[in-house]
This record gives sequence, C-alpha cells and structure tokens, in this order.
Amino acid sequence: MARLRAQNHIELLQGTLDMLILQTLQWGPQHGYGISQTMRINSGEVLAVDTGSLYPALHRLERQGWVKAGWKTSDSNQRVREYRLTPKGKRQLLSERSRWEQIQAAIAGILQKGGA
Amino acid sequence: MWRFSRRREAELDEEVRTHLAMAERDRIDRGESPDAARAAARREFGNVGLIKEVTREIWGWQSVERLVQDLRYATRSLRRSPAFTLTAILTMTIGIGLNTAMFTAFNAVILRGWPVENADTLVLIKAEGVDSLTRSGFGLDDLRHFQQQSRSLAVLAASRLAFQSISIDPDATGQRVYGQFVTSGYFDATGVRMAMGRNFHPDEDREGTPAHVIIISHVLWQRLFGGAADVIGKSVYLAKTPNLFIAGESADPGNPPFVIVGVTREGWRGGQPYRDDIWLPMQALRMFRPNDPLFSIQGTCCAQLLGRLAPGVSRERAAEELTVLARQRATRPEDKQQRVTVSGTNMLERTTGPVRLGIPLLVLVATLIVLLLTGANIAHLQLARAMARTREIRTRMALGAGRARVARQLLTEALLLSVVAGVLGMAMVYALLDPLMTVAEMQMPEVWAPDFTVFAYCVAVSLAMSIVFSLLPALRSTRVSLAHAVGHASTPPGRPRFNLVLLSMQIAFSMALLTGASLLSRAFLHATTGDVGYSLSGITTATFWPTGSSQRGPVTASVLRQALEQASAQWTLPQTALVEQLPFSSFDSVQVRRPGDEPREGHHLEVARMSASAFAVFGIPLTVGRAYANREDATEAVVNETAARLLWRGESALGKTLLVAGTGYTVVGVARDVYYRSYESIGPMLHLPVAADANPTVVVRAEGPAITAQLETILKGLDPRATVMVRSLSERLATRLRDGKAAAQAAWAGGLLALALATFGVFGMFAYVVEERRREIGIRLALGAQKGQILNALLRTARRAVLGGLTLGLLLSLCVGPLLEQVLLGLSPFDPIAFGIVAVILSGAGVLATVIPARRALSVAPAVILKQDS
Repeated sequence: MARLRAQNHIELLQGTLDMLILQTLQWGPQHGYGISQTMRINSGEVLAVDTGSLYPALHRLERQGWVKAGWKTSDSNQRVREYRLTPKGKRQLLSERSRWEQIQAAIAGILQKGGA
Repeated sequence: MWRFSRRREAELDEEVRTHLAMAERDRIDRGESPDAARAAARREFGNVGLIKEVTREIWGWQSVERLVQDLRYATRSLRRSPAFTLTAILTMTIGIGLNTAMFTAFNAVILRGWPVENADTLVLIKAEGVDSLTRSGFGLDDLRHFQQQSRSLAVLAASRLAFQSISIDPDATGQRVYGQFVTSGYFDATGVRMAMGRNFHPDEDREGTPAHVIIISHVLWQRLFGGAADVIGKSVYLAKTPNLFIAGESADPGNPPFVIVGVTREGWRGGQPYRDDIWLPMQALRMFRPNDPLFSIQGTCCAQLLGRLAPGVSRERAAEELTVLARQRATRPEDKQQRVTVSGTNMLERTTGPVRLGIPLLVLVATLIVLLLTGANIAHLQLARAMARTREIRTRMALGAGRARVARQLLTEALLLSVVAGVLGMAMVYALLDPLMTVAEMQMPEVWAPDFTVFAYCVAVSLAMSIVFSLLPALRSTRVSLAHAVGHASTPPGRPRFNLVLLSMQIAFSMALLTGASLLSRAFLHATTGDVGYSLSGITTATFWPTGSSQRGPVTASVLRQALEQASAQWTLPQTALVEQLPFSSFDSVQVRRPGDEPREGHHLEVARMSASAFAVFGIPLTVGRAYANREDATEAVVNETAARLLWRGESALGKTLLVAGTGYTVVGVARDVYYRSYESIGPMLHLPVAADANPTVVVRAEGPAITAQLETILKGLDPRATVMVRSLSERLATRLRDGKAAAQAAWAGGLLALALATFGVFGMFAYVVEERRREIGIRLALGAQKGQILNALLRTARRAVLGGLTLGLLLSLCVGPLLEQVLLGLSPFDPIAFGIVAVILSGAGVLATVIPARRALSVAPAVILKQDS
C-alpha cells in the first residue's frame, strides 16, 4: 500500500516535482534532505515533499544528466551527497518553466470563464 | 556493471542514512527527545526499503544483481512445486527433443544430398520402365553405351551394393561391413579424394581377371588398423557369402587377399545410407557372387549409375539424352517405352510421385502437432500454476513489487524452465537419433551430427514456448486489480477455453502409436513362439563355405549328403537334411508350367530346395504321397496344398508333371500348408531336391554343444580350410527379426512419449480445473459432501476430452493394425492381447494424470482452503 502511495505521488507530481527540484538547485548545490527542507520552507510549509518521490526523482534527474551528484563534507562534518544543476538541467528548467506558465495560463483561463 | 551497481547501492544506503540523520538532528535541535526524533524522522521518511527499491529501479532494470536475484527466486519457487516443475520440464523436453530429432533426421535423411563437393552436379541415373517391375536398373553394357555416347555427362560410373565380412587376419572372425562394387570412375564421379593412397586404375576392373584391390573408408581404417600410417599395401580378407544376410562369419580363407590401395577422406561413407566401408572393383563381384543378376540378366539389372553433369547441362537435358540412348539399346518392345530419370542425390529428389510431397508434408504436420500439443500442455500447466499463485502474486504486489517486476520474475522462471528443458531436449535428441536412424536403416555420418542449426532451432522452440505460454498467463494474473488486494474473492481472471479437441487428439494419437507398438511387439513374440505348422525350435543349422580346393575335389551337395549319411550310420548323429532356403529367408520364384500350357500361362511358385529328409527334420507333414527320392538329380517334386489347388484345382496332384526351366518334374507328394517362406502368409510353394552343385545349409533336429562339435568335425573333415558356422535355427531367426524388433522399440518409444505428452496434458488441464474449483471444493467439503462425489464432479470436466480421445484413438488404432499387416508376421491386426496391453497402459496414465491433482485438492482441510480466501 505504501508503495502505491509513493507511486501515485510520483505520477501526480512527475513533471512538477522535477521542475521544483531543478528550481531549488538553481541557487546552488544541495543534498536531498536540504532540497526537501528548502521546498517545504519556500512553499510556506504547504508542500511536504514525499521522500518516496524525492529520491527516485533525484536519481532520475541524475540519469537524464540534468543534475550531477557528488560527495561533499557538510558544515556539520558529515559526508553528504550533493546535487548540482548542469547546463543541460538549466535548459530543461527553462523549458519546463515556460511549459508550466502556459499550463497555468490555460488553467487560469478556464477557471475565469467557469467562474464568471 | 556489477561493481557499478554495488557502488551505487552503497551510495544510496549512505544517502538515506544521512537524510535520516539530518532530519533527526533538526528535530532534536527543535527540542524533541532523541528517541522521538528518530522515530518521527523514520515515519516521515516512509518505507526505507521500498524507497530504495523504487530509486534503484530508476537505474535500469537489467542489472546483474537483479538477474541473479530473479534466478535464485525462480529456482526456489520451482523447487517448491516439484510436480509442476517436473511436468513442465518433461513436457517441454519431449516437445523440443522430439521436434529436434525429427528435424535432424529429416534434414539428414531427406533434405541433404550426399556429402560431396559440388553436390548439385552429382546425379543418380535411374530407369523407369512402363511398369516399375520391368526395369529397375542398368547393366554394365548400358553403362558402357552411355559412357561412349553421352555428351551431357562428364563422368559416369556404376556401383552395386556389397555386403561382406572383412578381416585382416585370415583366421580371425570377420567384421561385417557394407560396401560397394564400383567401376573405376566411381571416385571421379563423386569427387571423393583419398586421405591416403590412390583411386582404382581403370585396368584394375578387368573383366574376368579383376585386380584384388580394395579401398577402405577412413572409419574402417581407424577401426581395423587403428589409423596405422602403413596401411597402404596391407591385405584384408573378405568372406564369400552366398547369403546376403548372414553376419559375423569368419573371413573366407579360400579367397585371395585384397590389397588396400586407398583410404577415402574422412567423412565419406558412400551415398545414402552412409554406411559403406569398402569399395571393390566391379568385376570382383563375380568372385563373390558368380550368379549375380548383374552378369546374368543383361541390360535390366542391377547397377546404380551415377555421374557428373557436364558444365552447363541441366538434369532435364541429360535425362532426355539418356532416354534416347537407352531406347536405342532396347531389344524388348516394352523397353522402347522406357524413360531415364536423372536426379540429385538427396532423397527428396530421388523419390517421385506422391511420396515426394508426402514426406515433407508429413514431417511438417507431425512437427506442428507436437508443437501444438506441447504448447497447449504448457499453457494449461502454466495457467493452473498462475491461478494457484494468484495469492502469492497479490501479496508480492502489495509488498511493493511492480507488475513489470512480477512479470519479469515469472518470465525468468519460464526461461529457466525452458533452458533446462532445452538442454535435456538436446540430450534426448542424441539419445533418439541413433535408434531413429537404425530403424530407418540409416546411419548418421559423423559429419552430420546435430549441428548448430538444429541447436538454434531447439533453443528457438523452447524460447518461443516459454514466452508465449508462460508470460501470457503470468501477465494475466498480474492484471489483478489492487482494489481486490490481498484478501477477497479468488475469482479467476476469466476462464480459459481448454482445447478439448487438442487434448482428445493427443490421447487418440498416443493410443494409435501405442497400439502399433503393442502389435509389433506381439508380432515379434508371435513369430518367435507362434505356431507355424511345424517345429522351429531344437534345430541346429550349419552353413559351410568350402574352399573348392580340397584334394577330394569340390564339396558339392552330394558329397555333403553322403558324408552326413555316413556319419549318421557310424555315430549317433540324428537325422540330417540339406536345405538351400532356410525358413523365412529369401526365396526365388520360378515360373512353372503344366504340359500343354502356353509360355504365358505359367504360374509363379516360390522354390524351396531341400533334401527329402528335410520334411522329417522340420516336421512338415505330407498330406498325400511321399517325399522325393533322396538324390540330387531326382526329377521329382513336392508341392504344398496351396500350389496343388492353384495348379490342378480339384484334381489330385500326384503323378502330375511340372515343367521348371525346361526340366520336367513329377509331383510325388503334397505337403501341408505351413508358414515356411514368411510369417504372414502361405503362398504356393514348390519343393525340389537340392541342386548338385549348391552350397546348402545342414539342418539337424538336435541342439547343444555336442551336436555343434560333431557337425564341425564332419564338415571340417570334408575341407579342413572351409569356413563353418553352426548356430541354432532360432538364433538365426532372431537375427532376421531384429529389424522388426527395432521397429517395435521405436514405436514403443514414440508411443510412450506421445502418451507422456497426453498424460501431462490431462494432468495440466485437470490440475487447472481442480485449482479453479478449490474454493468450491472447500465449501462442499465443509458442507459435508462426500469426497467421491466431488471427485466425480471434477472428473466430469476431463471426461469429455478423455472419452473423445479414446473413441478417436480406438478408431485410429483399428486402422493401424491393417496398415501394419505387412510386418505383423501373421498376427491378427486386431489382436486382443495387444489392445488389452494398450488399455492397461492408458488407464494407468489416466489415473496418474487425474488422481494426483484431485487428491491434492481433496486432502486439504476445508478450513484451510476457506481461510485462504477470507
């Protein structure tokens, strides 16, 4: 059942989650936990990213070459796996953002019509 | 790949660990207690194993680790259900093995030409008369005529089958080998090179005084000489066998040694059936068989002609030219109509008429049937298993296995099964091919052992089977909606349509095959122990090959008879007789005429020449009259009752005259009809005294070492250097029945394999039915139903297929008998015992196929079954 939930979330957020991760990494390399925390804080505690979706997504992005992973020692002297945006990832982020904006505009249009 | 995966695994582990550690520290920083922080962090993170699994999945799924895991899992799960595993593997093994064996045999026997270079220009030349009886081959004169006149053939040669015993040492017992008497162009035509030595010179095949030279095969060189380098120039001795079917006699010291001039290249053992080991000059045939029809019947017999097409000449053109040439030489009017055919060396081309299309079609159909049956059986088995595993699969899906993963694991299982079956099938091919080839009187040339093509075929078949028939049911069982999740309703995912027709067909097919096998075995038994009208047991035979150079002159039949009579008088030798044709050997047919008959009115009778005492020794009663005078030159004859009826209808045969090849014989007695020529039927038979110059076999009604020694002493006394072979008649007959025995064995093998397939089919189907109704059975048992009732209800499903199959099988079996009549050695084609044996075997198989799954279903406590579903 747990598996099912994880899967559903990935499916639901697939494109969006990828974009959000890429966006988060735009300000500098971060590790997985850091990404989830940043996203949680930046969304005003609304979006709690499911770890079950986050790690598969990170690894998927890495496989696609949009992010690059490397081991770093953190401030608290702990070895962490940091993800960094690649140039290819930057381009992907741009295209996903514009796609997102189109969708947003489209949805907004529909909602306005329906609401009026 | 492996190291990469291991590294990544470790990284993932560490990544998750640091994530948890950081989350935990954050919570402690916010003031939570360490224990609570750890628990909360874990809760928040979720199922660590699952997340790792999902993340791992991102990194491709063909990792070695995954494969090893799947394989290990597959092995475990297959081992857990040994009945299924065994049945599935056996079914596939039989399917693959049978098909590959058939394919290999078909390829080797039918499709391939002789193993020579430029095989497409090597042709066989055959005569086709108006009817096939008038012309069967060519004589040496035809060969010369063709050689002189033909422009379409570059090389022409003739060969004639030899069947000799060969040995290096004149006193040693020989080895039986096949070979050919060939004209000197034989090796030029076939293009076979010598590994050592040389080809025959043309002048070695002189008429009248052939050179005593021999070429041996590479195989024989290895076997007889151990591959010794100095074999060229060595001598071998060949036995002079008047009867082509006697085996294992010692070399005939009366013959001059043959000098080895050549050893053929490896892999060459003559044309089909590829078992030749020696080649001798054609003219040397006179030495072994002076009366061979090749010399006596000019023109129509009996050499096989082969040749190489001249460049650019088609077979059709060559055939036209040779037809014209053959008709030029024809003297008889019917021969003016004859045609000459020119064909390639593969069997398909050599055969004509419906057989030509029939053989490949038969093989194709048989192959398809076997495939279909195996496939259907596997499908049933897999379906039953998939159903039984529905719960397991659902559980695994609920625990986080994806559909693809489950399907992949099932596929791995199927692949594992088919790989094992493929290997076993290949082993079966090797085990099957030898007997198969022996039955077909073919020996596989070593070079044609199952090759890569066949192996690829084998593997392809096994893969296709596993994918089609294992993955489909597997996929279906994973299509379980998760709403139905773990518990709840084991409604089967749709009821598969059983191919009852296929199942019936299998049963029918195996039944027919088994009936054939059973009949053949019974026939063999019947022939060895059955009643032939006289007594075959307790008779010793002695065959004697004099050298012809004893001081007392040639040992003729008269000399032999007198010596034996003398011995009988002096010693305690029981009554002896001389026989030219032993029972069930090959007989000549002669044309006999009554005085006043037109030449065309003659009747054909089988001739058995035997001394007068032979009737007493064999115990063949004379119904009327007496045996002829005990002399070789007596012009008296005995006919059997059938012949008497044929020739004189109601009249008494006694005192009548018969003209046999110009000599008049007076019929002095009528022998009772007995099975002398064959086991199957009694034909018109003519008994004549042994010819004075014949080389008859001595028969005596006694057995044992004493009589053997006595006979040897007498015969050696006549000619010390003669070859003597003393054996009991039953032993000789058993040798002659060997082919029938081999055929029976092959039929048993085929029948039992077919039965195994059918049994697995019924087993698979029945197992499915039982599995499908497991819940129902549980409820019924819980409600107090009798086990017998339930069993009955279950059996009802299988009953239609089984009854249909048995009915069809019975009909087929009734057709099998008459088809086999030729080889049943006189046994009734509807022999009740043979049919009874089949019935017993079939019921045994039926019980096996149904009782095991049924018992398993009934033996489970109802509570357990019901609990599984709640």
